[in-house]
Amino acid sequence: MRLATWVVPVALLIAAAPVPVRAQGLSEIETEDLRLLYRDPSQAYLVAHAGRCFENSMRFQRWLFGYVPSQKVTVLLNDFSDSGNASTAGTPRNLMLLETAPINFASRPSHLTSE
Amino acid sequence: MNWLMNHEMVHVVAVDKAARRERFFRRVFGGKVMPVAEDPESILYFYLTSPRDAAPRWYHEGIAVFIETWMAGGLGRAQGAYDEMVFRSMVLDKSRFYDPLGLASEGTKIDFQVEVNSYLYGTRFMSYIADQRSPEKLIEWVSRSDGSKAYYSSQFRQVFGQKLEDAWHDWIKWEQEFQQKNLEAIRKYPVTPYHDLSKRALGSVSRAYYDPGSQKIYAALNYPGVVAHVGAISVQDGSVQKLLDVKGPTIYAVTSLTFDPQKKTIFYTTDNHEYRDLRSLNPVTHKSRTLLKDARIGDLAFNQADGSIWGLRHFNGIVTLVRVPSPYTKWNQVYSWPYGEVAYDLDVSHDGRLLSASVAEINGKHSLQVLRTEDLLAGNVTPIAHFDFGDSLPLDFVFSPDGKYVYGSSYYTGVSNIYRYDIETGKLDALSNSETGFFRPIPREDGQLIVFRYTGEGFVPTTIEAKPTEDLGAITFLGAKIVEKYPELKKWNVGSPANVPLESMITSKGKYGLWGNIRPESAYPVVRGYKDSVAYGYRVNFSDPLSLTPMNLTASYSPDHGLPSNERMHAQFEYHRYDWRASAAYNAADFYDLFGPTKTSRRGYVFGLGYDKLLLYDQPRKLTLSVDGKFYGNLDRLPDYQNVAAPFDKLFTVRAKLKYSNLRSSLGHVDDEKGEAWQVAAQNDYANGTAFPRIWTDYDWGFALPLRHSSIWLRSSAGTAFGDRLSPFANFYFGGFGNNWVDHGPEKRYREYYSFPGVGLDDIGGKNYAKSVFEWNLPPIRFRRAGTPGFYLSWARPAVFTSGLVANMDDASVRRTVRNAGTQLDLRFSLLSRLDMTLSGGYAVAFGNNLPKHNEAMISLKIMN
Repeated sequence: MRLATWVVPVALLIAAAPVPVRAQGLSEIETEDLRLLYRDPSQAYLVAHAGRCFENSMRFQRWLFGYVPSQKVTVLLNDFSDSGNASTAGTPRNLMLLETAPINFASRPSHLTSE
Repeated sequence: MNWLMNHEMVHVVAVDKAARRERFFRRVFGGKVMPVAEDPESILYFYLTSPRDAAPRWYHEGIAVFIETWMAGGLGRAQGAYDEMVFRSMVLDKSRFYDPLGLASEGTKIDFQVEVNSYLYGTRFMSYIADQRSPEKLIEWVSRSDGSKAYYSSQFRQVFGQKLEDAWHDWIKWEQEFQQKNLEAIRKYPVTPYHDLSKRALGSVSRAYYDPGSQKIYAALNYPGVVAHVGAISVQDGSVQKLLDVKGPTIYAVTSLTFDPQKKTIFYTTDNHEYRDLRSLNPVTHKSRTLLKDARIGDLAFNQADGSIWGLRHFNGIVTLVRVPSPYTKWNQVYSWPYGEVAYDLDVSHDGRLLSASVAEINGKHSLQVLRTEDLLAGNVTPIAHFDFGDSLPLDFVFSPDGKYVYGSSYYTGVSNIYRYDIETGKLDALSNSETGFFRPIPREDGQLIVFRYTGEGFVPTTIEAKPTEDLGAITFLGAKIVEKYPELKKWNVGSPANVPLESMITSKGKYGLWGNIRPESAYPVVRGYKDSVAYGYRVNFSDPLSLTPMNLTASYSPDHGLPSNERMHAQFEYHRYDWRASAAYNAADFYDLFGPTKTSRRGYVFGLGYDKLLLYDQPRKLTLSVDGKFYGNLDRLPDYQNVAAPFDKLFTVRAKLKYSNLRSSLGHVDDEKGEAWQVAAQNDYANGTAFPRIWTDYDWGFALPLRHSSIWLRSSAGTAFGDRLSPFANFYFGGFGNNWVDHGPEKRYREYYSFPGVGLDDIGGKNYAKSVFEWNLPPIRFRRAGTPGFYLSWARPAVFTSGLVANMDDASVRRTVRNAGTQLDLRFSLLSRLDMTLSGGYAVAFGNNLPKHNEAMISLKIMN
């Protein structure tokens, strides 16, 4: 009985054994203010555009607010949704998650620009 | 991506920008402190290091939208027609304007637009302040600089010499007058009469289809109190028949929906915030089935000529026109637009020859295009007709029955009116002059149009005459007024990012590794409880930039001479890496053991390793397998049962749990309202050379009542352990609510299998058991004005329950049968705009023989939900 009682939990543990842990194939580029993470090669075509958008915006924030970042901003490109969106955290680290899907205009009946 | 980046960057600046005080405390604590429930002192450290993070959402979204709009040269929601319509409608309908407190506590929870109200109100208030006080002053308010006040509303008073609430009140008064003028401007021309088909507003509404045979409109609806669903609206009496829930609805559009009028089949999408599924629904039998899983196709349009569905697929930022032929088991690519061009709102003419689509260009311009389906299938994407809408969106254009026109809506003149585009002549005619806005037209054979009229409670199906008019009232945009008054806003236009010399700015490229990027995150003093003593210590947090590998180490000491010397030192370590968890502890202490009867601190050491595998993630359906192994040494109490002495000081435990949930709720909910959840668990305790296996299972099932947000639940559990009945390892223990006076576990602890309110903690033991809880969640009470914006009461959630428990079912001589009845009231508070707390009070009476305690009162404050 003692041996048998181990079978269920151990079998489940084996079933749960993961693929080798790694950062899901993420690549990165860094600038002075930015760490841009993306999936290579599928999102590589977006890297230059995303980097330029970031630096363009950061330049403005420095001008408008006199902003000096306390740390780099990490931007992660995702394709987990069929609707473009983003979320940001400033605590504990500067982190921005960007869904690369197009904006769903049907869900945002407002006056928007897509790019 | 450009405007998203501009918007999100404002959030980063708003939180990260530091004055001298934050710079000091960030040095003291080694960074910005994230509040964690395990150590509530971190809430204070959080405020000291990131005070502007403790501001309401309307503040953050309002300033982000305002700045994003002017960074794009005025293209954005701060100069948006939708926002104008919302506030114009509120004035027309004499709807409530929330104050800052009411907005946070109620307006963003019960209204059909929920959190979008934070964007709407926030943007409007920021714009009003810019208009009345100047954009410079607005920036002075939101910028955290040396000399500024840390708290957002204190800084408002410092900059403007007025309380924020008073300025908000002034804005509402101003807005009423501003929108009255806009309404008068619209009324300069005859306003289009309408005849409502429904007695009430239906919240968010999808594209709709009229079925003349049944005289019903099929559409997906989402309004507070009822789970989002596909419904049938009777044009005869306005009644709404619920056909089927929509899994994963979106705001405004709910789902993408189309209709096959011959076979009377509705096609719609689910998981609209994730990877969309294509499903079919029979509106008569209500039978539904999945046609394409995770197809990522939306904007559906049915081709009556060949039974195919056309749609738009989103993948990796690219929009692809696809055709899904019957029987809808595969899709074919027709055309992929280049990145930055976004097609939306498709329709196919009744004869199947033409397809219409709205297309957004990368420069923000929108157009309506009509194309031949035959050309498209041959690879030719040149439209046969094209109308440039400029900065306005051509929305929901659909073909007339004869295929000569397409009808849709646009804010072309600032107000959303219905337009008819003549495909042959290229002429665009306005068909309405609406006070609020008309949307989603359905042209009928008799010349009438079914449209959806915007109101403060959502969209109302209505009919209008389809007569061309040139008499359209034009409104004034607040954004236009501001930029006219402060032309310096034009300098905020950041222009195209294309000229940024990115290559020369790149400092490194490579693979992102987790280990190499783990850095200290923060470190701070903590207080914890160990048994009945106080321990003082320090907690250090580490993580990588994505927080995929959080790690913390806490060491503390209890200067209590009443404790044995080998129990005064405490150390705890936790590490997560994706799905893996590792932990170690020595004389584990817990903050919440400082308060109340429940103790989780334990003598001895423990090493643990855990793994969570998500076997199914199809929101709201989730199936998770969790496996944990722990080795304990020098134990004096059982790890799970504080009042049960451990007969041996060493214990090895392996636990596996398979957990499933499929729980749903409606807009404005405070709890799950329907669905099911279950778990199956197996555990093996190995002590002193003997194994004590046990298995147990839980099953919860509930349904919504016609009373708003009220539900009934049946929660059942059963389990059995193996081994000597006299050994504590071969027993389950039950008793008590289980909530501590101050707590961070689930506030509805009576739902857990080990809880049994009315009797003492762990008072009832049994080698096997069966338990059932019947629970009625009464309609919650929302509070609009109870507190201040920094600390307010949001809602009260009453519930009553009754349970039955049989332990030791296999042996009548030791069998225990108990029942109870109780009630619990939860009061939800919000602290610093983002930290939820729940104050719970409960009382239960237990019935049964030989009970050491027959009733129990409970009061508990849960820190951070």
